[in-house]
Amino acid sequence: MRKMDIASDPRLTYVLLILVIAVPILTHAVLPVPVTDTTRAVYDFIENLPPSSLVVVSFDYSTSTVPELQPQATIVAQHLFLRPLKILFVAQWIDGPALTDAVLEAIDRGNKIYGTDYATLGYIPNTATLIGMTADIQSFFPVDTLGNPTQNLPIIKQFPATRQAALVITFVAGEPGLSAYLQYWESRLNIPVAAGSVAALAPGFMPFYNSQQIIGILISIRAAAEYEFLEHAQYSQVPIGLSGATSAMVAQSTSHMLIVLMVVVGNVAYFVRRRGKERSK
Amino acid sequence: MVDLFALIGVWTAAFLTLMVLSFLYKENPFYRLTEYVFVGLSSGYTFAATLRLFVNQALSPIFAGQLEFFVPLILGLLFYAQFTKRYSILYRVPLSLAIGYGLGITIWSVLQAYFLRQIRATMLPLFTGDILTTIGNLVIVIGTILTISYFILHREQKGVYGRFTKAGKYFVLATLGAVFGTTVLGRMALIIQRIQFLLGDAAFPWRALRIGTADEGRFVPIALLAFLIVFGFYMYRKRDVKPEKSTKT
Repeated sequence: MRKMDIASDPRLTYVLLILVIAVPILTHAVLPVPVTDTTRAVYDFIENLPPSSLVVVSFDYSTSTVPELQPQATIVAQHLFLRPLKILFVAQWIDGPALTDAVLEAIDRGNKIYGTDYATLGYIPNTATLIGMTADIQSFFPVDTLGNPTQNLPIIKQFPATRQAALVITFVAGEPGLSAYLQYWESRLNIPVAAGSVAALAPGFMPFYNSQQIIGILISIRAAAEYEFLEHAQYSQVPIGLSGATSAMVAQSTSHMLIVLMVVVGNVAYFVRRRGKERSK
Repeated sequence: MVDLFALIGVWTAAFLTLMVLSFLYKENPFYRLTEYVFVGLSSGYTFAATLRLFVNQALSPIFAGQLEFFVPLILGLLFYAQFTKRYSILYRVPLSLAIGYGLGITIWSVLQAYFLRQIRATMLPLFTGDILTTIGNLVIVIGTILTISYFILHREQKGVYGRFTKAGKYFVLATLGAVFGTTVLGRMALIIQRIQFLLGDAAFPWRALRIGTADEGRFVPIALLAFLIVFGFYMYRKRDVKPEKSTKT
């Protein structure tokens, strides 16, 4: 009886899980990750954007999903800063502006100048603002997150409306998120949309990828590792490990193996026990 | 070079993480304290951020002479009329405007993004030169028809029609399996990064998360050890205390 209690104690599972995660981390094991089509689509699209194109990056997540989305945002932002593009940072979630600052601090911004090559506009409080900024950024964002009047920013003078954007990429953990850009930017204005998604939402976004409403999806931390390998292959100055995703991949695989093993063992045990009961009858 | 303030920040983050994870062992006051801190911090941050937004996007333009911003400001204030008996009817003005605007703008775009474009995406050739594309297209077309048929509810699902809809149910179950699988992937990512942090791993994205640097990160295991001693001592002291009986009758 006592033996069975230990076996069914969930805390045993937690200990096993911590072990299979900690060992690869402590041994610093790194394995290359095969790149999926959905990730490559986003990378190739950004890589092929004409110089001086406007890209809008939207931080639509909060601190609770940082482990999944911050690595993606970091490595994609680094890619954008390596290319001769203009970048506007916005956020549909209130934590977004702070997370944007963290990303900008982590990456190498090269010789890009704030206000000329990039700007942080901050929080988009409602749908009206999201729609309105496609026609006139300055009216809906009188100041940026640093308090500068947006009418004085060269990037806003060059791109007074986001309808001129060549891409919007949303890092999304729920609503508001991708759907707003699909409805109001992609459907109405044909602005290409890409998504960086938490894993749980990704299956729901696949129909939009199949229908070509979004150009690609980055799925959880795995996509960040894939993107990092792609970026490192082309821009050797980007170090493997910038986003922190690559080092987590082996632990991700070992933890998944444990879960598969537990599902199989649990099912076998169930059927063995059921057969035992049937025989005893 | 270790920065003392950054080290204190790193240790605070480590203690809070461990206090949350302690719930996996047992419900305890450390966990509850973290819960309260989280609620308080979230509320405070949201309030401050919203206030800043209000100042930047509403008050500043008015003080800069853009008096037309008074109109949305007054409309917004009318929402508070619902808290008075005498003027409560006034809150219907901004509400009806919001509903009218919202519906008008949403219906068209929802139809376009979620309905027409999705239907168009299922109009696929069922025989192509590539065998894998053909199979993929067949799965999408047949899966869509069967799944939607499962949700036709005005007819009893039995006989031939029942078998048809049952196949649709299996497509729904396969989708749920995919969602569950990816949810596991996401949850594992969360715990992996926390363990990376608690082990003070140099590969942890210290800069990208603005939690000190790898130099301060090397001292995280000290916090881990300290917490385990404190938590272990607390649990040892509580080992003989029986759980309180519920006061509910």
